[in-house]
Amino acid sequence: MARLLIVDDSSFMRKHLVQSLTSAGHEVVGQGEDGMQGFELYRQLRPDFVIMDITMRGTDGITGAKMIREYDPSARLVFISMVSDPDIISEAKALGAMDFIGKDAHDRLLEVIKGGNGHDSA
Amino acid sequence: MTQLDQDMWREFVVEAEEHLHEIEPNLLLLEQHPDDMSLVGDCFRNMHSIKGAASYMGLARVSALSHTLEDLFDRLKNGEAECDTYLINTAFEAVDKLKKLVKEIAETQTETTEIDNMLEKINAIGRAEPPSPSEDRSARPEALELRASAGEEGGARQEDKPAETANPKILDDDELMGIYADEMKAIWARLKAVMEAGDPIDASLPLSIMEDMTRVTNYVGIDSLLGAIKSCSQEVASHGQNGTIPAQDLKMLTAGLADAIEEVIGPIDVKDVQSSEPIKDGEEDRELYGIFVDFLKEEARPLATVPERPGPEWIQACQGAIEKITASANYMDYPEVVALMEEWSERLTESLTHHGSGEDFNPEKLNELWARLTKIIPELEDVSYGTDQMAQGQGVPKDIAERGALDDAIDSFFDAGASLSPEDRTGLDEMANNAARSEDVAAGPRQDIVPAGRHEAAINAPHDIDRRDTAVIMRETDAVSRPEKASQTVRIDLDRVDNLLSNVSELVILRAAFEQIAANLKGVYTDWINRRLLSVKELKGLKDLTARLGENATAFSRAVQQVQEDVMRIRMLPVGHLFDRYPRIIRDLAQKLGKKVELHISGGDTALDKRLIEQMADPLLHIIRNAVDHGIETPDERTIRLGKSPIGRIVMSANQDGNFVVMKISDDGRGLDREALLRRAVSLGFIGREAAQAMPDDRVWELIFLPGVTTAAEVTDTSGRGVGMDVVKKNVERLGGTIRVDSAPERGTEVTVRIPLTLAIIQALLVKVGGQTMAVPLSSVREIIRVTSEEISSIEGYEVMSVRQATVPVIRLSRIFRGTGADDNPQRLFVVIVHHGELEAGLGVDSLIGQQDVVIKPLADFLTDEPGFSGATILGDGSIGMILDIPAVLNKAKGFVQRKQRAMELSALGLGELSGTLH
Repeated sequence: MARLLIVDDSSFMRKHLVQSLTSAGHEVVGQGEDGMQGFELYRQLRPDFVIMDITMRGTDGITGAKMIREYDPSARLVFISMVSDPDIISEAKALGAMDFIGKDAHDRLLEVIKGGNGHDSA
Repeated sequence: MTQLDQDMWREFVVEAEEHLHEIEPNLLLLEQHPDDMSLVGDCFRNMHSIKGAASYMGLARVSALSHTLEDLFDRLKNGEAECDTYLINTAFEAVDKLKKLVKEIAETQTETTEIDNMLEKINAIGRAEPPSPSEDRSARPEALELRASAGEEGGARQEDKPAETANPKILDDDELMGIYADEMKAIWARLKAVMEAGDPIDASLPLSIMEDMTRVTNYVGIDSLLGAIKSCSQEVASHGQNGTIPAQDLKMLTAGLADAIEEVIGPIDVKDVQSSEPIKDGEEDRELYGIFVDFLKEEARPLATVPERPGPEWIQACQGAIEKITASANYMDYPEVVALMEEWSERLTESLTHHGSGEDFNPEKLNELWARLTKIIPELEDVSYGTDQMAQGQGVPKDIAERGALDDAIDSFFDAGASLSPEDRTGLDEMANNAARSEDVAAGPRQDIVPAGRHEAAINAPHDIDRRDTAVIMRETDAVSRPEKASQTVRIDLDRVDNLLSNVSELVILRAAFEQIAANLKGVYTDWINRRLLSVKELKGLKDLTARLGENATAFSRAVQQVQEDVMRIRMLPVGHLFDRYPRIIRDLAQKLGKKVELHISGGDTALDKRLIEQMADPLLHIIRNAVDHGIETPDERTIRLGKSPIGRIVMSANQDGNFVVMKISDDGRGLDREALLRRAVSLGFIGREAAQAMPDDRVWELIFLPGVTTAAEVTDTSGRGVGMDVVKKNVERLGGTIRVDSAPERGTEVTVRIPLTLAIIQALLVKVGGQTMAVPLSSVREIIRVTSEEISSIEGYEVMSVRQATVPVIRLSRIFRGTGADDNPQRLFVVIVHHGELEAGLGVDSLIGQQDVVIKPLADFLTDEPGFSGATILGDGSIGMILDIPAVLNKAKGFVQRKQRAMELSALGLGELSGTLH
């Protein structure tokens, strides 16, 4: 079980993520609607993982991830986005994201979290 | 994938619609500012969000189309495509397609609109080379995933990729297939039942069943079967005549489909599947079945009586009935009935959502379900519920019953109070003391009550009208889209708000009841004192109780008032929601007509009842079309002949005025043609030739509201057929509003629409006509006069009276509404002078009761055939009062008024005496 922070501007996506993650036994401790909110929530909540969308109105996910990374170099970030631009994807990877997942392949998200968490406790 | 429930679909649809709603003004702005990259970015983000959610939901077409559009905006950003009219037009076309798809998803959770051509068209933009292989890729949804993963190195991801896109993976899933097979079998059984039930068959039944097949098949994505179902339903649709199809033909047509289905899921015609043969046959326990049927007969009433316009009571009754029937059917193990109820509930929600989005509620679909229920339970066929008022107003008798109970309780309380022992009386004294203390408390809120004027100020204050004044087309207000704001708001189903309002309506009725009880109690006390039944000292308890009840009734009133105002405000939406629809329409229309038009919008924040916003959409559309089509001239005509700017200007504005919202639509076009209007009106026989010449301008403009009158030299396909403005006027008046036109040649036309803030609760003057109480909407009341019968004289068969030198027709309500039990010709009577637009008349009533907020309950359809009442309301004493439809009542005096007007016109020309002929 992990404590998760979800940052996505789509309430629909948030709802889905919350549903699938909580049913897998994880706890969603916070939800943000853009990068800036994600950063502030991260500071307050210190979640185990941040699940971050990239294209958002307001502060985008890359910027938000940078802020989080600067604040806490050990933060674990997972991007979940439909962005296909290789530049953005490599930028996200460069930020040390654990993975970059398409929204259509959200099932993978659980594996990533499981893997990341297991690795941590091992 | 997780089980996606109805909620998720709805959530998806709402969000997708939001984005589609957002992109339109952005596209319009982009057309004017093609270099504004932030606009391109916004459009990109809209599409991106839709794509994300759609691919999550496995919606191939929506995600392919939004992806292709997203790509287009990307190319625009990179300078690979040019932002010209063609691009914007194509983008609009694609957005329309998306809207259509989303609508389909909302209704059936399937995508049926073809998008391949659209994808090609979009992909061709900005690419010199004709469609390359890459285009074919994005034309298919599979390409999406490949592209999305193209930039990744992560090898682990590759494994589940191909599986996602192909059917076999889903088919591998035995459990899912099992469920699918069961579902298909059940649906097939329904089709079979339909075929055996009668001959010929109503073609809509098999079609709707096949729609269901498509829905479930879509879910598992078996393309071959989808094709078979589609072609079969097309054949059925084309084969049918007058909406029916012979059973033999249907059997023939569906035989192939049966094979196709069996290929996938095996034999479908299995005995153990609950067939839709009447349940009775396979049922051993007839007694239980009989009980169930009786229960159904009792409960199914709201389901059988589908009104034209669904009222909140009816919806509630339906939901209740569906719940109860489902529970019982489950208990009885009738899966057929359970499935049908589920579908019912879905359809109900669906049709209401439609209704909410401004489309007409369609009772047919629900009636069809009833037909199917009667097929399963044939006993229901002989039940006739009729369309009595009860079907709509289930709440009504309950209130009366409760009211009666309250009366009884109070009576018995007083019976007890008359024989109070001393100890009891001490108790009463104590209560009285408490009451005195609570008086202070009750007095507190009094200061807090905000005068009506301040509420309005509060609504008006945050208008920020200027912000939008100069923008050609407004952008979404920041407040709506800013994230931090979004988290402060809750999205509520309109049905729930309507439910809440309906409950508040009950409160309002109860409040009136309490006020009346308090007054009655006071009357009893005064009466006892006067008749000296008991000494003042002995009556002290009663006096205190009266005072306390009075106080609390007042406090209760205030609280209810507040709740009522708050709920009304929840229903209010900014008219911007309405205005937002028009920029796109104006753009398309102007483009088609070769005109240049800019739209200015102000006062978009003015709040208006949601229902009214929906109902105003079409009338406003009509006015705007007229403005673009007939008002605004072509750029050449404007510049060369008239010296105006080539760009025409249309201004839409809204502001609040008391309990009304005033909307103005003005253009700077050629204005109305006085001569043409008069010619047309004369030739249609509305006015005489002489009268026409002398008619003042503002009266001439009114002619445009007469049926058949148009100013258009030629009929275009958008407007000008001469039907329209009369319908607009009728619709506005139906909402209790008024409409006015001003015009100046070559300078333009302004249409002013004034509609009430809300429909649900109005202020009314209650009057008594014989034994009946009637409510006159206060907005129509001009004054009240007490007259003797001598003051009323008769002219040309009309009763008239003189009010300050004017002759006003008098309509005795007892005469037009017979059966009121009123004295038709009393010596003294009250005359309530009412007006509607130009028309004015006096309503003769027996007595006045007072002013009160009344909650409008819609009338059953058969009651509205006889015009005169716009609704009913429940009064404080539990009785029913009819709300007068003033325009309809005034119509009865119209003949007189028109004659009077003609006489006045003649007198203005010196041809007759000023209304002297009428006295």
